[in-house]
Amino acid sequence: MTAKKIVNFSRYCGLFALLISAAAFGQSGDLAKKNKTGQDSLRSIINISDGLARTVLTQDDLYRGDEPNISASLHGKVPSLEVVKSAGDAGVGTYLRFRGTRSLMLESQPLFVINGIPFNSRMDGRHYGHIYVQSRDLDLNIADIETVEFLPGASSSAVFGSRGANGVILIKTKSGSPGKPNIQYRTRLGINSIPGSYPLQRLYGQGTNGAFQENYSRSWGVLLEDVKTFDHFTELKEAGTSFDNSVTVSGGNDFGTYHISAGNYRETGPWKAGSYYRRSNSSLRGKLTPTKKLTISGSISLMASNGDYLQKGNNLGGFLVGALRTPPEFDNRIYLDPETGTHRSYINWDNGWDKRFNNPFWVMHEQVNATDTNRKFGYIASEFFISDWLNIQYRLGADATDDDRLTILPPGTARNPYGLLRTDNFTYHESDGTLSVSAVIDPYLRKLHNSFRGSIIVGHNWNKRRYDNQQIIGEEFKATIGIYQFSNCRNVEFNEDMWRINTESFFGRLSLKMFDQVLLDGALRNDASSTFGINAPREWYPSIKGTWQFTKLRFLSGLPVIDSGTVRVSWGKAGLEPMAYWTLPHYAEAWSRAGGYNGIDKQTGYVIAGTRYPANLKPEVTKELELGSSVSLLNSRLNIDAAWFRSETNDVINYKDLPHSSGYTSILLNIAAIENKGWEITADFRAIQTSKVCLELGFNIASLENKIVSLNGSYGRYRHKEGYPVNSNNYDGFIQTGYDYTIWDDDGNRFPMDDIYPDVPPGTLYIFEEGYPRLGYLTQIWSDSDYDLLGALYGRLTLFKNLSVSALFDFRRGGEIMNGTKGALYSYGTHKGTEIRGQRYIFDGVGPGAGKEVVLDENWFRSGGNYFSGSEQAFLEDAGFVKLREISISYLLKNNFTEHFNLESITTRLSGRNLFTWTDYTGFDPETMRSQDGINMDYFNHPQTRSISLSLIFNY
Amino acid sequence: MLSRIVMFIYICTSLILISCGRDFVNAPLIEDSPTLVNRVSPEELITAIQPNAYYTIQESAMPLLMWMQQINGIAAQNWNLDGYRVQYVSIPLRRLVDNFYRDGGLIDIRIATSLALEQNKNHLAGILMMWEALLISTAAEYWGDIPYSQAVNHDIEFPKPDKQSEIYTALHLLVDTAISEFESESKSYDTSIDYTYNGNTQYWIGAANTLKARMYLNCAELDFGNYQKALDCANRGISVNWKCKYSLNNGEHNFWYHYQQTRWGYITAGGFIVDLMLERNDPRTPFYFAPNNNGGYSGGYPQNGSYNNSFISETGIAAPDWDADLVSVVENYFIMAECYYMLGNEYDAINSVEQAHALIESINTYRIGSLPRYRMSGLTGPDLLEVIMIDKYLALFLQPQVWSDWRRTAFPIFTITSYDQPIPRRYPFYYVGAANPNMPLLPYPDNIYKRNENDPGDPVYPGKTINQ
Repeated sequence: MTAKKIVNFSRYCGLFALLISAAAFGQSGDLAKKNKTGQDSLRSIINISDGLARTVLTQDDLYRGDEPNISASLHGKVPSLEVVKSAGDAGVGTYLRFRGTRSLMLESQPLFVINGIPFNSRMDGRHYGHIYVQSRDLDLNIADIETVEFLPGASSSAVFGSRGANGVILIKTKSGSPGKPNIQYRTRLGINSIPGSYPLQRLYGQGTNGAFQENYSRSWGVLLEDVKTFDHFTELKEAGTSFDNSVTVSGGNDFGTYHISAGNYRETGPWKAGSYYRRSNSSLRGKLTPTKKLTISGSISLMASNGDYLQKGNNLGGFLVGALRTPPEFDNRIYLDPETGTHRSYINWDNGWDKRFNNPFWVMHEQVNATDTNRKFGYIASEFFISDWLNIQYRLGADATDDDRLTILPPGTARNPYGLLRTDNFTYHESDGTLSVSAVIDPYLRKLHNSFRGSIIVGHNWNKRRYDNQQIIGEEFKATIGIYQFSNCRNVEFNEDMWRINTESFFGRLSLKMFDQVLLDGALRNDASSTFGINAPREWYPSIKGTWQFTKLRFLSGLPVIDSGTVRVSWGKAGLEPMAYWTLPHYAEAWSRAGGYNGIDKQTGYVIAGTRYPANLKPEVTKELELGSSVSLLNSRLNIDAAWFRSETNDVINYKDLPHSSGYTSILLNIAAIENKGWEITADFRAIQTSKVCLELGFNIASLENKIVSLNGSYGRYRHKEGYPVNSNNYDGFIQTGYDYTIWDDDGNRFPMDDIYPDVPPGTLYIFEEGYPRLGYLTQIWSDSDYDLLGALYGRLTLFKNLSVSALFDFRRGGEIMNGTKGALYSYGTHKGTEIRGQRYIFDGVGPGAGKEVVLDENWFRSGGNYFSGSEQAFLEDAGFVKLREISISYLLKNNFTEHFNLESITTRLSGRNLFTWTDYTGFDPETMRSQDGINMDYFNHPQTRSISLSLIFNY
Repeated sequence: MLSRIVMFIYICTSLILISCGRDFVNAPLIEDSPTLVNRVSPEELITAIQPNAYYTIQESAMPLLMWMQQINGIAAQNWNLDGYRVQYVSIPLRRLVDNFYRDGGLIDIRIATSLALEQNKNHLAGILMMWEALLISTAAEYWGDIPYSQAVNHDIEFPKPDKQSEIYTALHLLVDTAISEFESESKSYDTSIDYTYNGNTQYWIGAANTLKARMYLNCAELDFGNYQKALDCANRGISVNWKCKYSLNNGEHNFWYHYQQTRWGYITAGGFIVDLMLERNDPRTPFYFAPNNNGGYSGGYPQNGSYNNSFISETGIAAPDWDADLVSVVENYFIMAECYYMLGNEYDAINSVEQAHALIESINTYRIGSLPRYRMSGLTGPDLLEVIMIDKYLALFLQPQVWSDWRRTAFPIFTITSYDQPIPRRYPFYYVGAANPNMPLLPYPDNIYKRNENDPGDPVYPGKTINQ
């Protein structure tokens, strides 16, 4: 594992970090070199620190992830970083979260910064919910990436001000170096598939009460004897492939350097049809040094991608909703009616034209959910050395995304029996400019003490963002078949959503190194944003960090075991800006009054919006304290870093109800507070290190605790409750002890249930006379979907410097997930668990029916025993898991053979991903989320895949 | 030298690039959303205000119309309301309260009025004031003490309720201001957005006087002098009915048509009114009600309804193109009749009722010939008042004023109530979400039987047994 906790003096400044030449700071130039080699970079944890130890991944770490995008490649490699790729379909985006959730209404994903320029990693259209969407980090070609550095929270990301509270991911792309051209070609072929099947019953057919009923939605019919049945999940699967090719050329001379790359990625999903993703990348990065005092650098990257997706999740037109609910005897493979050629589904309404659920083969073969994306991003920067201690830099960057989507639901589709045509166009433009002046102030500091050194930076940043979404929805095709144009739709509706955000910032930073063992670092940023209220126009973001290299103390220096050690403390304040126009009172179309009644057109007038948007809305502010220590032992063969952090986010924006007489239903306020705390430990150990064998072992582990400290009367969404995590959900449950229920005796007297059963633990079911539990309105189960413990174990064995075997086990503990799929299928009678229908059962609990034997029949499964009308609590499951996330074997060929072909080396790698999962979760996989923003809800979500791939890297 | 030139150019260029200008974060195109509407005209607001007011007054009248037994609630929340079980329908009731203040309610009326006055569209401002007076006086009739003076004020998070009489005092001033606006010079505006009178200020002045007369009458128990004030206003009262429409589109005017179409089976005819009209052989019966399955007319009594009873006639008063009255000439005559009676002039009281009957008969839509002068001749004292009020009760079918009339006069006398409980006297306050600590959240059933200050006690009529 080459992920290293390193410290780079020059990287500190984050957004403008890469503007700052290492040459301006002697010590950081040394560090930059050390970081390129494994052992030296490990030692750098100890030797020099700016107050934080940070994880840095190299391109090789990302390649081992065997994923097309960097986010999905991060599983288990960064402490406290939650990575959720919600499904294994081709081109699915990935959700990231550092050190817990800090907001109730705003995004929790970290900010991406590439070469000093903010990078769009949005998941546009996610909340429409009908397909898995891409996250825009998919647009990056890993072949272009040199390093990825992680700033997990406000104590390290404060310099990013109003966009830094969720942490920052700093990406540095590859650049050339003087010398002969380096050419690298990488090709990779992978196979991905869904492991196993889904537990479906194949004993009982369509119908109810043990009898067949045509067009019935559920499978509570006859026992199927001598009837052919189908595995409605397995019949959909087909191994997908991925093919990744990239070539890079880099080189240069004293006047300039260059790095050119081109890549192409193709993937088909693990289904028989309807899921693919293709991407082409090209990029150029260069640097010119026309004079000794001036350097000009820049890059331009182009990306084009397209794909097709399957409808998913809580959507009657969804792929698995229809598949898993189909009675076992119905042959879904014949998805077109042989006589009419129209959609054939197991359930037909309205004389067969209106399907309640889609045949999954219809979804795969007939529906279109296509994306077509073009993107351009890059920067140009210049640096002028005014003197050997003072320089001035300017960096200008831009990022433009054009994302077109097309949905075609042909006539006959469930919920859209007459068809639907929809286009979405998402455009996102961001431009960013930073001026910074940096100075080495060693001469002035030496006047105070000979050991003092330092630097100072001041600067200015502006940033513009523009988002447009235009949506056209056409319903009811006039011509039944084939003409999918808006002119062929009876009803066409146009919607648009646009916003603009401008921000402007000043920043400064002072760094001091004292007594050759203490580093102090203070920074201050001041932000103005168009998203702030007029009464709160600017916000300050200070941070301070200190590191003490305690092993420099005389009595510790020279100890045989400890090579070096530091303790550090850092504190920072970072923010999350409100959404655009949250401070802008506005009007809404007044259609609701008449909208509920038939035959009344929408009104043309306007009314003031129901939510009051106050003029004094401020950014949400997170203050984080981090304490940490790093030690390097056994001649740097064992390196350990430990950190404790606690952050409190105040001014969290939330809705608060207003009395009706105010004229509004609610108001947006900076009102709530959230706490995140936890610890992280990272360790690397070179257990064996000889000239021929090297065995490296390591782990990272993090404990996270999230809590809503106060809502101050705001309610937000239904799931928020003080003292509970942000990602809690409120679920119904059966009547049980511990919830202040009252029961009656035969004489009509009332008694508290908990007084009658004082000796049973809370949560014991109350069984009624008939022998069943009943749903209780007082039972409110607050689930916690956040993992309490997450981390990874990894190891790498290198033999003869050529052969390398590595593995990474990823684990999560403590989160909960709602298995809504299972809960729904219990009602539909298609889940394997409903095969026990008719069996006798005794519910465990107390009460007059305790111990009574009952029959688990259709009535039970369709009343108390399912997710819709029964106990949701019964389907809440442990989301913990251990996965063999990565395993690979690689061989570096570098001998006469390669020389014969003028090659420097050839690397061959065979790798596997997600090959094994150990979990108690009874659904597909606990790593999923319906709306792609974390975990905790599985409702006909698509499963994860496992993959095996072979890659070759040719270096010239 | 070259380096210095390069440095100079570099620094100048950098400074130009950072010179975002003071407006960088609050430039018009940044501060204003490209898609959100943050500027509207008073005309755009009033086109939303009118249907909201109409809808709100009509829908929120549904519980009281059940309690006044003009309709019978037989399904969903209406079944509970019909049985006075308002605690089960707190969310619908809260939504009803909301609509008086937002989504085209008071907050939008105030904004529109302010804009109209800014633009010197005084007549339009007067119309908006009339809508405010109608909406708020209706809400005060329903709930009693409600927030008004502190309502829709950004500086006050929890508005305090005003006494109902204080609200009426303020509304009288508001209506007087509206009248003065109608009488003043005004910039022109698109009068077609005035669905009521197409900008005719004389019609509006008449309606303003009848609304004032109604408010005086509804506070008459507090001050007997209000009968004379009400009479004076009614004598200057309405000449063309104040009706409302959702829009100018045909077929979109009648709340009851759309309610029955969308919520079929939620309400039928009330048993009391049907039996009363059948007893009187009232020719308006087929205009009010559709024949039941047996071809006759029947209604349901509280908690004893049936789908087999008559629905509201969709070829008559619930026809899609029928415009319901909010303030009418007929009501104005009945206000005069009650005032004359209370002021001791029974002759003019009867005369006013006769004028109302004549007007009703003159409306071709009814095609009813002559209305029965049921027991009118020779009556005097409470018997005469009862007949006046029953005639008004029948004439103002589906109009919320009948509840105020009943609370004030105890007529009509309802012999059957839900499980023999008293008939509710007010709507309760219920909150889901933010509670206003200033509001009297009384426990059920106190909250529905507590009288507001306009009906401080039961009227007593010698020789009459009144079920309150």
